[in-house]
Amino acid sequence: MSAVVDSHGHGHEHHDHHGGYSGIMRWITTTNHKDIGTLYLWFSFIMFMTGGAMAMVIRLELFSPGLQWVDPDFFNQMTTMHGLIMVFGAIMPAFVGFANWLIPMQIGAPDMAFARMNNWSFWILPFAASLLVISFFMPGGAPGVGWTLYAPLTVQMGIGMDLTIFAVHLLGMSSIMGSINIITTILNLRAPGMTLMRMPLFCWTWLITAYLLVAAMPVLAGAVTMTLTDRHFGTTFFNAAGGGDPVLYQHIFWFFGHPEVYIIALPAFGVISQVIPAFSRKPLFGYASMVYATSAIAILSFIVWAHHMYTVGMPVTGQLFFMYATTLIAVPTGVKVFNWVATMWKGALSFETPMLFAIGFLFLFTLGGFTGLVLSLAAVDIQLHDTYYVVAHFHYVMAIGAVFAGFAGVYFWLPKWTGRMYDEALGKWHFWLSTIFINITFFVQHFSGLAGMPRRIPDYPLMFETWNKISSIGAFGFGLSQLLFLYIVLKAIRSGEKAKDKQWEGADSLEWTHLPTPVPYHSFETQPVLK
Amino acid sequence: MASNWVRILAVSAAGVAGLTAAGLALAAPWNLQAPVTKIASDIHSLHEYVMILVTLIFAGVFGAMFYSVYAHRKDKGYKAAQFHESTTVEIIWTVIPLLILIIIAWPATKVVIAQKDTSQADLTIKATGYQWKWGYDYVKGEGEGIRFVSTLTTPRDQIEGRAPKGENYLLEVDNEMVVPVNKKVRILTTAADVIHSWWIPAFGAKQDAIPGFIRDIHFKAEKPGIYRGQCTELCGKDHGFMPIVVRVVSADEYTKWVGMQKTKVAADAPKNIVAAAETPRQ
Amino acid sequence: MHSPQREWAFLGSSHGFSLLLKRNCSISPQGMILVFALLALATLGIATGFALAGAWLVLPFAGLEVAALVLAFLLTARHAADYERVELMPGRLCVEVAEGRALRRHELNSGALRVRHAPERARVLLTCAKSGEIEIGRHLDVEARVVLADKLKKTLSL
Repeated sequence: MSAVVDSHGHGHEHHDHHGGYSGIMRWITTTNHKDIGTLYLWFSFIMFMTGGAMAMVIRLELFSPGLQWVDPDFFNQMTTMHGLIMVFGAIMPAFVGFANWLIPMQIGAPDMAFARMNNWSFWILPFAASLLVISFFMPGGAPGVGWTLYAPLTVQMGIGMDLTIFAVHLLGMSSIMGSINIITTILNLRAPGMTLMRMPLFCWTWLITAYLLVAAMPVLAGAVTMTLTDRHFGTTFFNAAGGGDPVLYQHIFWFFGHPEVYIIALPAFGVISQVIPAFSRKPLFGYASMVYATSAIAILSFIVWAHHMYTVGMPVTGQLFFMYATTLIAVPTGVKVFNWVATMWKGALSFETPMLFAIGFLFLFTLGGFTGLVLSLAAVDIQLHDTYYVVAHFHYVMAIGAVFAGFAGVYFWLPKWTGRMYDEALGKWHFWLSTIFINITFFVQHFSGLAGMPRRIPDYPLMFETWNKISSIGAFGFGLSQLLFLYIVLKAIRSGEKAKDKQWEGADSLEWTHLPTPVPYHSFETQPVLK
Repeated sequence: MASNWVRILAVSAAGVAGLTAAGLALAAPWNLQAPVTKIASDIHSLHEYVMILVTLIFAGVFGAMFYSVYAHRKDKGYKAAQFHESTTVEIIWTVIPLLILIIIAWPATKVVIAQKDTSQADLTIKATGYQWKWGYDYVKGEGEGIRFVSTLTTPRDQIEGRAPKGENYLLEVDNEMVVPVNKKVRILTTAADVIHSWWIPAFGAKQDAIPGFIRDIHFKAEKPGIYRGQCTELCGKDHGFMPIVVRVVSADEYTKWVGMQKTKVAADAPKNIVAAAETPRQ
Repeated sequence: MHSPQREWAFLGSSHGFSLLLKRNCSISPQGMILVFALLALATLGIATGFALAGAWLVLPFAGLEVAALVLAFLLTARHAADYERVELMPGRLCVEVAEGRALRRHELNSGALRVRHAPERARVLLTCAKSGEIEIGRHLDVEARVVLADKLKKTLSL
């Protein structure tokens, strides 16, 4: 005799009370992974618009040579805060939002392992973001040192620098709590039968990302703390006069900073690895090799940091070691790209908005990867280091790569989350506008970089004017296009058509196959058993 | 219907953008500056070589992808195949990129080694970064003892838009660094306050100037002329306003210039020392 | 839509049964130790490297993080081995509850036993005169608890 239990359809009603609070208190006290995922995603969008507004200021000033709109100090503050906010406020939280929403559903768990800690790790973020914003109103303004916060320029900054350091600490704490939560959830809460090698690739990439975060974050915390003590407590970690070394800061920062690049990229890879098979109606090609390639990228990311520092004057052996190690990253990254293309090969492709963004990601991220290969060659990098070529390169992998993956993910899962479809025609508009404008913005920056325009300058010689004008026009267009995205999402939530349980024919992870649309507030309280 | 419109618009917009870009590329500088040193031209060829390889690979991979986008469409009734792994294929596309990397690594290594070889210089000059100007000390070789500070001369009026901008806007200084043609010049970089970076694109020479430390780089300019670059490490407010200008002259002219500087140095010695000492805080 | 089903061995015969209820942990505490230890080692190794290079302020943060890892491990491992064993023998019902380090055993007279399912808090309670109320089915999900309560009621009333 056996008892058979259905996983959904009854017995849930008494649970849908959102923890007993309503209104704002519901969101402040929530420990539900879906609520927290939503909070992360909205927070990230607000930060995306904030950082984007700063980018608009930058592009406005650079529209023409000469100083027109802002003074150089404020310009530096803009580039610094644009970087910090986009990296720590927009992109990272966006993917943590996806992780919160999706990991429990994809592994068949009822929630995250530490639900209350999950709440804390989100609610730290708004405080950190406020500190960054408040720093603008301090004497001396926000720090104007670049998002890399290089010593010893940081010593010259005002109190805004200290607020930024504190904000970075908070952001780091939040990331570490989130990471420990994700690792524990993925390892310990998988449903019976959900072996590691059956997990959707998104879970794998997040598991590895969480590892990277845990390993890298203390290094960042140490770096900014030493900056703080150098500023106020008489230490000389980065000051040659006291026996320190400014380059040590760069080693420490990039030891964190390069894994950080993959902390941003790997979850994006994960999203793409869900979307492409779904619209190819064909399983992901080379699942196991994708897992190995992701791990290889993660490991390599710890031995390549000094390729950000070819111009500090390392010995020739150092230059060569970091050059070889860096070029090696092209191998596992190549494997991923080849696998994605092979997944599409002989599939039955359709091109709904998520797929468009995924293809856009694939194409443009690879372009950014190739300029990365060019930059990895120490000899060429000497010429291109700290020019607009580098700006173009990392915006191709981040502003296009990660952000497009984020858009692909939102369009892909929005029907599942909200139970409502977005407007497909508008989604396509959003894709094409974004793609065209962002390429106008960043493609020409390769040219100005090659021709010799340094980054982080508020004014430039006349020969760079053409490219800067074009770039600025593209940037304004891209910025405006994102308002369309907001409209599409709000329209879908308010009045979108009802979405189907399995909106996308080819989607095969548990949230599509085992849960109704919209997903109930509590899902998988009965863990499914996979055969 | 709507999506067709989107597609047509998008394609034509992309076309227009592409054509515009191509047209502009003829008018605006879009590639590395013309090299005047062996290193810079090596960098130039290495860059071209890698770009050709990369473009071929890019075309191959995305040729396959776009063929798939064109041919394997659901709306054409194409039925999805279900293959999803092949160890052989994975090994092939791991090994081939590795081989390509080795092909690239060889010439890249040669250039790196050449860049780093600062031995046997004919002339050694120390470049010191200050907020926001450069100081030059001729340390060794002909002209030893010459020292001066090099500051932007572009007037505020041009920067703030009250006057038309000149040809060398933001790339002009009061005292250019002068070096002889076809001589190996070693630049020692350091800084007085924060990190700066000394760069002349046409020389393929860039080196961070780090306070408290001395690093070096070298170049051997093969053509007389005036070469201009900018500070490339964010160093505070006027980071964008501390250019580097090097005038490469014939050996004779150089000797003449050295002579002139020596007499000037003798006359202005006290003033220069004071100026150099005061530079970190303007 | 295919709906997943979950089956558990239950009530072998009318004469008696033995039911072992455990929480679902997809990794053993030993596995968890290994994973977290590797992470902690990597973190401490990196921090030590930087300390040797002169940047010793990375170490305290690595230490804090390792502390967080240990705490997380303790929180998950403490209850990883929890179980409930419910055995019905002729005339009595044995309930063994292992929670953290505590192990409680109750022997109940099956004749004088009431099974109560408290739906508002989704608990299954056994009530008897001697031991008061005993909760079982902690490791089951809501639906399974309903089934457990029903089946127990039925079997006990036989």
